[in-house]
Amino acid sequence: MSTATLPAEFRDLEYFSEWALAQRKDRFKKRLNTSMEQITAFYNAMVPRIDAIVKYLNQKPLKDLNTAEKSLLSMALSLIEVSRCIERWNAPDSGAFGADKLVIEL
Amino acid sequence: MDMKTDMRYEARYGMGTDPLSTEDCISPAYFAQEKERLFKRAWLCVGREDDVPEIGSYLVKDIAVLNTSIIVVRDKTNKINAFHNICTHRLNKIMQPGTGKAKAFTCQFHGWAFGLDGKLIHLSNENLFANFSHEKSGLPKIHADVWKGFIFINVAAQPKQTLQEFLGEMGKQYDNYFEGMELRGKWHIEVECNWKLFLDANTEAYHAPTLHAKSLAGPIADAENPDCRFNDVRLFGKSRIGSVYANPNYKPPLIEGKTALYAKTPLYPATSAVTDKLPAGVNPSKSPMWAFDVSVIFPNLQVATANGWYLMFLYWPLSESRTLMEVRNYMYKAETAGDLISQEFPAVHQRDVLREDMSTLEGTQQMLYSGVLKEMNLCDEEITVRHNHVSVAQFMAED
Repeated sequence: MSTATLPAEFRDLEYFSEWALAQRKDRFKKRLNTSMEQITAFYNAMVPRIDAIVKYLNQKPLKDLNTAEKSLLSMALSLIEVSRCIERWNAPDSGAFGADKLVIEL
Repeated sequence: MDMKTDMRYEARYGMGTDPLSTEDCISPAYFAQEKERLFKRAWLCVGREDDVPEIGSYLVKDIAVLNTSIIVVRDKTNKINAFHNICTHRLNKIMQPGTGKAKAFTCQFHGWAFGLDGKLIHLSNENLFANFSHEKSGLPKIHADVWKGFIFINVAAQPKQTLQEFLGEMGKQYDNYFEGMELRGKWHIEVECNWKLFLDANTEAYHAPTLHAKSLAGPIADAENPDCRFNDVRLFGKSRIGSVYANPNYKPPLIEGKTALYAKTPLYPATSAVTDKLPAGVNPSKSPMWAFDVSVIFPNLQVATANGWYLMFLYWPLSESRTLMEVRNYMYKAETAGDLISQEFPAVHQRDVLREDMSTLEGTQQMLYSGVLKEMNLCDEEITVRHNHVSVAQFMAED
């Protein structure tokens, strides 16, 4: 379990803070290595909160986000990463070529 | 969409309908010719100005098909220079691949140092060299020029054409489209296939309903256009634009749909009506049912252009049967978290769609080697494939 803390308004999502990964390559790797059950639990927790998350984070310019807000943003980006698992593939991955060969730089 | 005009691109461009030989994808002799007659004579994109944003910023790249390593640098006059990454002393490779910033390029072997303009500015023990000339000892220069922020090089001693001449009419299709967007993603992959097969796979669309059934068919095919036929194909010399249809009634699933709403400009799929504000080469037929374009600037730069984002692909042959593909996402500047969250969907989903595109490549390359069949059968929608192979052969045959 990560030690990331989130803004007070979103402390209910603290349980899933291991998804607060700032780098896209880490979010990709985590998705590939997480069970469908855990992905689904994370997705179900985030979906009802995502509008509020965007509204909350949009109050500031990106460059002014503090550490807790950046963690929250990373969790939202992880939701996008896993959304396809539920909304398209019914699996942690599409199974297409190259998950092990692809090198994400940014 | 009028499905009755079945041979429209043959009617317009007359490229022919014969099967196409696949020898150019497996022959080591052909690949050797491509090295000498194509890659060492053409203008090749190696990056963008945003790779070298400040004076002294540099980009170092190993380019196997040119048998060299290059340094691209922004000098004190703000000019982009390119050099072979080789010390004129004992020919050591000076810099390691990557990006950075420097006041000079210093060889770690004996400390020879070269300025941002390539001139030799320091060496020790000059008095021990007989007949030494500073002037003749600068970094070997490579012709370099910039188009719409894309940095091109040409390793020919005297390129036959300027970059502008080389780009021809294709270079006039984009106005300021590529300005004002920032790098949002970057990744690369090596695949066991010929570079032209790779390019073929990523620049036609009618495989979408089958190959992309899981991830892309919904947005770009429907009852009106079940085969995902191009809205249009435009050929400009050896370069080309293929414009991809968008299903105007596509209903995205929950989070995918929400991300479009968080954006300043709807991103993906881009069924935006603001096509009249985009230049000639972007959605060339100005269709309201437009997703994006798949376009190739000859020989190996692909851009997938859309409203508010584009992808940039470079295909680097490592051999006749192995290719390095570099991919970048460029998107409009993100000012809020909502922008970033919205942009994340295309950034990750395009990557995973491209993995589907790559799924056929190694199998195809393997079966080409069987020699059992030696020709592809191409349909009218695959004019982009035909044009790819024919353009390469044409350039190689030209003076």
